Amino acid sequence: MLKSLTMLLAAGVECGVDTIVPIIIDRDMSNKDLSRTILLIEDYIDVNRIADTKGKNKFFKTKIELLNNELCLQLKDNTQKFSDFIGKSTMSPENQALVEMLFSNETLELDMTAGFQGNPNIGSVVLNQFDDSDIFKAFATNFSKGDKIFIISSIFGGTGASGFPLLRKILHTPNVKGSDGQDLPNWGLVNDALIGAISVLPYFMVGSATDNSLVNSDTFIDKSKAALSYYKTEDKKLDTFYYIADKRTTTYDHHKGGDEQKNDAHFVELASALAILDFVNPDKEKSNIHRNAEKKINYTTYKEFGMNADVAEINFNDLVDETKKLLINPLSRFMLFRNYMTMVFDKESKYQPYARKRFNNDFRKNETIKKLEAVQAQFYNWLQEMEKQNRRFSPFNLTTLSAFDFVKGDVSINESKDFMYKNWAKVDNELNSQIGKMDKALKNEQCFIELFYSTTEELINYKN
Amino acid sequence: MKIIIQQTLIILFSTVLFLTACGNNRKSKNGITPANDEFVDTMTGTSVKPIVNVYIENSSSMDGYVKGVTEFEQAVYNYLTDIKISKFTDSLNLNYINSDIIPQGSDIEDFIEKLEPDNFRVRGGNRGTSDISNILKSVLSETQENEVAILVTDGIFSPGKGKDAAQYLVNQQIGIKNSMAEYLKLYPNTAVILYRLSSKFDGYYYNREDSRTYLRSQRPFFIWLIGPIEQLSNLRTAVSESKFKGSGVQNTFSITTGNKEINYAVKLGSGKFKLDMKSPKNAIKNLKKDTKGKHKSARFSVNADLSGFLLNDDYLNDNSNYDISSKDFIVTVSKAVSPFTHQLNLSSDNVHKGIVSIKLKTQIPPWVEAINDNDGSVPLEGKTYGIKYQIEGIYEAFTFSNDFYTELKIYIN
Amino acid sequence: MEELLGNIYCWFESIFGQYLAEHLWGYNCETLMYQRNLFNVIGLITIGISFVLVLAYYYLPLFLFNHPRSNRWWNWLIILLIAGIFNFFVAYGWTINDFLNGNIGDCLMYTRDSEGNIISQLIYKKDCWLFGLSNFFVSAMFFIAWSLIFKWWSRNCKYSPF
Repeated sequence: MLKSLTMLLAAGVECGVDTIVPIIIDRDMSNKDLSRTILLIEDYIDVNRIADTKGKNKFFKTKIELLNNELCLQLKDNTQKFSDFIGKSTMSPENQALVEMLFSNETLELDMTAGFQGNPNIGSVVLNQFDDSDIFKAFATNFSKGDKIFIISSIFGGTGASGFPLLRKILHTPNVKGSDGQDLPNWGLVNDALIGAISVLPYFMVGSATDNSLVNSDTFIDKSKAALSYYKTEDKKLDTFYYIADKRTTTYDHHKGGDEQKNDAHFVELASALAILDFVNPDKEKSNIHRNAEKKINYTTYKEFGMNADVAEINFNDLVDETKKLLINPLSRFMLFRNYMTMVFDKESKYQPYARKRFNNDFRKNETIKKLEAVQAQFYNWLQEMEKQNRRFSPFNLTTLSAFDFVKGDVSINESKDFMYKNWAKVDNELNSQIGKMDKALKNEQCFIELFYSTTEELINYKN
Repeated sequence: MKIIIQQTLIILFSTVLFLTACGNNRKSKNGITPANDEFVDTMTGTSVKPIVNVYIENSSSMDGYVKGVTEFEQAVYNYLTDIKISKFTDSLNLNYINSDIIPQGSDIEDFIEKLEPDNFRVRGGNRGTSDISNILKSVLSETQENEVAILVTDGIFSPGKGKDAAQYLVNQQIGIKNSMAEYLKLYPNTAVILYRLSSKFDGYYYNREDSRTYLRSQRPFFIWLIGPIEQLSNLRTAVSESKFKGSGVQNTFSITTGNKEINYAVKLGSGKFKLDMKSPKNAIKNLKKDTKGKHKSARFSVNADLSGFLLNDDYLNDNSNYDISSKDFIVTVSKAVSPFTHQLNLSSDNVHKGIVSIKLKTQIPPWVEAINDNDGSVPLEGKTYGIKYQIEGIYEAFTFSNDFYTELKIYIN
Repeated sequence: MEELLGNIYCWFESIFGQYLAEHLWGYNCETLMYQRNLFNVIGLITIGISFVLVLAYYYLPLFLFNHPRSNRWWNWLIILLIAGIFNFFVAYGWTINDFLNGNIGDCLMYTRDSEGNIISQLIYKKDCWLFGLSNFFVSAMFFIAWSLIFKWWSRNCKYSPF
């Protein structure tokens, strides 16, 4: 989901805040999805450095910051087996018996490096040691007035399901002390901060276990129900609580974790990211936030995600106007940008004035630009992956070679002003026109991103 | 795309046609040549016929030319008749001349019939001397505007017994020069033509001492034509030298006043140079030496209309009659195409810059010296005593202010 | 100044001949003076055509002109060739018309002897073709010059041909 959020921010979707600080809490450090996300965010951060052009550019505009340059809240203890973690072997025989009653043998023998594999009961024990970590301290130190907190968790999983309520509780506990015994700084601000959360209900299944995994998607619904009933206690503890689920599911390959756990992107993740944007949107404050004079939460707003129709293949027309307006221009512009870079740039940059003496052969070897293109590649993959799901998000024709005909459905994204210029020539013409308007003080990379934003903004303008 | 090409083609071709239709349609104009039966004054364009006064010297030394039927008589008779036939003049007056002018009417036939020594004697005047200076003076004083004088004489001086002959000749020359110069002041457009002819002579030859010897042989005689240049030109056109009967014209001398402007122009393509655009007739630039040929010289030619000087081709084609200001250049003369008469070809081994002046010199032709008898004591075959001094007298009068007929100036930049 | 265009054409005089050149300078065989300088007329047309096509190439929004797909060096070259060919025909057409209609002075057409018989011919039809060719080169020169001056503000073709 963080990936979806990153993609949306890369595309320049409107965000009500200027910085997002993501913190991933996961014990499964070698999860391939996590690795991919970390790389993506690192690339994004690099590109974001050139995104502030003081011009029109919105691509990569929102800053993503990592606390202590780390994305993940590392849980200190590296003990692998659950029984070792709780120190069963050092317990008294009576306690050991209690433990054996509470947890199954498989659970006790669980190698936790791969996460809690759908056992929130373990997770809740283990994750209680949040407040000891360095990231948490950094979180507190860097927290300012006006900052908002948003918790994303899946209800049916292991780590996410167990961690969410714990986390919320700690954030609302006053005078929490760090590992050094000192009060964590700014904790009063943290207590009072606006807080939202999304709980992602089941939207996929897993195939049968290929190894000794305890994950079983048949149990997803039951576990969700169990967690939901617990979440009733979160009422009035959160300003806004978002829920999302999808009955139309795809079955993923079964890998309990490690570098094999690589699930394709899903529209639900994208929609979840929209929840964040909804929460931080200052225009939505009236509907999302209800606090009294003492800054205490009067009541929690509950929100669910809706579309125009329950279709297997979603394009922009199937989204409600608000969602459509939010997504269509940024995603289309970014798509055009990506398509141009992959299909046209190599050939045309030799001839077009906008590229002359600026974006020559070596330009693409620039580290930041390489990362920009890496993000674009990931953007494309992300769209491809979403297309493969049972509930396909397929707003674009991903195989077209045309410059403007890639938006599916009866959507008109631009007006043809210049009938003289068609297809990619139209884009080149606009690039050549825009380059003259660029601020001369901008560095090359900044100029590049500003140029492409201005151009795509001029060419793609969905109104209505 | 295709339509655009078609449209472009249409525009292209229609424009070409339009442009090509804008060319100039200049046709070459023909020159105007005067008809033969009407004499047009080429200077003023008027067609006024001149009065012609004919003077035949009837001093004693002339008797030998008129005894019987001689070539002298034939030549003169024929010439006057031709003049009459050509309608050059409506008024032809015949006279004898020695110390006086004795009019003889206008009947040529009668006049010629009466050309006999006896009649010479009878007609009066002082036949004893041939004071050529006085004769000329008398003729000039009788010749008014638009009149032509024809003087026929043997041209022999007769200083007389005991006189200083050499001094006499010089004095005659001065006298002639003076008379002519005075006449030129009144009529600056005057020309003089002198024909030297030959005839059978049967009579007494009087030498410088006035002593006579009987002679029977061919002797030269002279016909002077004096009058306005245009009329003499017309006369020569009407009755050319070739029409003379008898032995014909042996030599010709002509002279006119000089320093005249004529039509001339550098000939395009006559060498490696470019004509000056502002003044293409007489200015050239970038004169270079030839690159081909054995003898590489810098060349150019000038076409000139030299018809206004009454000079014949013998004179005009003779390089020595031209004076070039720059000794680098040598000149040759060849025929030119209308409206010019002659082409002056200049060449030099060096490329010259500056003004090159070409003068057509006023000169006495070499034959004058050749047929002059300086001694005068005995008749020399083909020679005439003192003729040179007469001609020189005329020459000096005409060349008093300048000694060239015309000057061509070519500017080389 | 009046002779500037003529002097430019005269770089090619050895191609189309001295006598056709004199005709174009305006030499009149009767007056023996220079009158209408045709180099100026033809030259101005050539300059004008190449100027118009240069402007069109760099600024007219039409395919082949000022278009992102026609900013290759050979697109520019094609327009140069079109201008050159057009101007070739202007020059050829003008001179061949003069040649065929007897507008070229006799003293430039032939050398004659004193009787007026032709000794040699000085201007031939091929000279008109060669003048056309020379004008093609002159057109190319001006096309390049105009390109160098005016291309800088072109949106799509600024760096065409270099």
